[in-house]
Amino acid sequence: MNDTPPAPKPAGTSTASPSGADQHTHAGARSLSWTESKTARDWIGLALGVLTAFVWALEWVIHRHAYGEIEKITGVFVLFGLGGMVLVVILGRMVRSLFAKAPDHYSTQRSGGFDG
Amino acid sequence: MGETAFSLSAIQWHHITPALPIILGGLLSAAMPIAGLRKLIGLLAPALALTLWLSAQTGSYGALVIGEFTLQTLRYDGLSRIFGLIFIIATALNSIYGWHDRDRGQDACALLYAGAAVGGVFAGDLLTLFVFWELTALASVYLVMARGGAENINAGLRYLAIQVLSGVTLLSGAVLWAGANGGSFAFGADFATSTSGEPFFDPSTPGGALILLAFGIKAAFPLLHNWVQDSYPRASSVGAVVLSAFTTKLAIYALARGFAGYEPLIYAGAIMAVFPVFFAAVENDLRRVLAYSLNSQLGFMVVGVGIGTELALNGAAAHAFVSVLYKGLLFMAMGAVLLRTSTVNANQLGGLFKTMPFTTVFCAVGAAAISAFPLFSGFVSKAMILTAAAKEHHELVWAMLLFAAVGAVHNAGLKVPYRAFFDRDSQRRPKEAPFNMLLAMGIAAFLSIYLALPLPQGWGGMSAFYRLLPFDIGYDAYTVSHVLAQIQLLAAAAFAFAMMLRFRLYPQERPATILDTDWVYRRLGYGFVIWAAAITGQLWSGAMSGIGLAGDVLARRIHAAFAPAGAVNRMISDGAAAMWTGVLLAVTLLAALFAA
Repeated sequence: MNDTPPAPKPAGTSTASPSGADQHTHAGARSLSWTESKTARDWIGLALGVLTAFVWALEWVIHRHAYGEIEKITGVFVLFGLGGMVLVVILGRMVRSLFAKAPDHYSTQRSGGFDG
Repeated sequence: MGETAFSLSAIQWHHITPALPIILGGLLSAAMPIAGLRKLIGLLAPALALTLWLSAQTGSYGALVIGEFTLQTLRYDGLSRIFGLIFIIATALNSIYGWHDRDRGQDACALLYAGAAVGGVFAGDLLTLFVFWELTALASVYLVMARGGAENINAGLRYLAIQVLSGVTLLSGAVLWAGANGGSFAFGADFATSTSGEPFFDPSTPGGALILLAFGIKAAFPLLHNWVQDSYPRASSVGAVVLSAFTTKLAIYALARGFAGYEPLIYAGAIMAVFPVFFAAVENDLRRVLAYSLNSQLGFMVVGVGIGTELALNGAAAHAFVSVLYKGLLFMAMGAVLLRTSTVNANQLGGLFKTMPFTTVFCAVGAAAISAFPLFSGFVSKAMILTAAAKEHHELVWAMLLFAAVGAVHNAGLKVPYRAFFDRDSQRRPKEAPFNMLLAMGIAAFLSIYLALPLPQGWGGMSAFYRLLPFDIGYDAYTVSHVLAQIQLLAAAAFAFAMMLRFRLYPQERPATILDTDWVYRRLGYGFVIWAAAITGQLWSGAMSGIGLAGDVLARRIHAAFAPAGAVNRMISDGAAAMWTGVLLAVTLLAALFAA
């Protein structure tokens, strides 16, 4: 099958050639490795927080047309964004706690046929 | 004798359904052993289909008379036009994406499947729709099974059973509907200049209800949806991209044609948009996340169909159009990851941007589109449905859709690209995707941006896209209100996501089977079948034993009576037996003589 690539090398194994150059890493990609640092992530989070506060503040400057009563609530979209994201994660965890089974849950029950 | 000259100009091209070249391409591919030629067919077929689409004229054509039935193979109007176009575009993109693949079955079935979907869109009656409806099922099942292995084949069988069930239900409904409507197999209203706001089929009748059920199965209605999550992630990297484009959008088209304005669809759609969000949030298989996300996006379209106003139907059609592109793009990105790393599990990936930068960028474009980021295609389509819901005073539905939009941001907008390409370093250093995959992703990404750009007149972009829609209503997506509201939603959602990651409140995915409605037929249904088979086996064994026992008893009795040492022979001498046999024969002959 075309979807079966060579097995991945164990963690820590370099694909570098004897000359030291990694044959498979794009030079442009290396420059993005700063995003992995905790400091970078903190700055990204801070920037998003500032942006959120800024666009929320615009509610008092720019008139936003609303069709319904819910939409008229000041900052309703910010509230939906914040609360909705938290709710998705919380309820998602509940779904997992209620419905998660072993990965081979369906495979353990029969000796062949319709299910797998 | 006069000469007969064949002239291409004499052919009425606008009478030919665009499905024909694609289906013929599929059949030709099936018989073509040379992979390179199959790939060329995969490009030529949609090119020819596009030519036919461009030459088509509004109206109904291509009538085929079979016995007492007339099949209308081509109905071209505002609704079929836009769905037909995106299916043709998707066919071409799929062919480019799968250029490296050497599976003849996948090449052929992908084209047959696409052709059947195009045929279904342009079908002018229920019988023609049924033919293409079933062909999509038969052609696509191979794509589910193509990776081989017992689990994938069984998933394909389950997929086939459900798709065929939808087809049989459709045929039953069509027959009942025709019986109650003077034998008419007409399929839905013509989308000429406006919509009546009332559904064409009456769901309160048996025929209408069965037709709605058939459409609902393929549209992944709540409780009928899990075949999508069961089958799509099983397919190959190419197969999943193909599968994501057609079946569900064909069902949305059918709903729009037959049930536009049917109010219960509004609430069904709202539920469809919301509930998959929670399952997608905890799935480890990123293609399964995309499958749930696809389900959620279908909910938006169903809401639009249910509202039934021109704005809502435009929104449903537009959202279906762009969804094929950005969802296809996301599946393409995950397909590339699968090809290079052999996994799409979130707990096994991360840091792939280092060696797959282009795939990362294209995935990010798809994520921005599904998140309805301004200047990306989802922004200009989703807005219409939300606005339509608000204008018709469906506030609860509006709120549910807005929440579902946040869910889409989380699942496909953030989780999929973040877990696959960023997050922690998984130490995997796969090569970038093959050029053909990057080309297909690039085209899909370009369209996902281009269709949303508010360009000047004559430059295309959003205005050209809106002109494709069924109704001309002059909607403007880029109002200050809308742009501000959407940026607020996105910024706040991204901030919440970042904070949950920062303070380790975000749950790590782990391998698991998340039970869904497929439990009903995979556990309960399968258990019932096993139990019924055991009971039937026991009853049959018992019956056979009983018959056998009775037979034995009868045989022993006969033997005891008529064997040489049996009771009859002991009671009667041979001479007497012969005499009485002769007397009996004479009596019988005399009786027969006098009876004649």
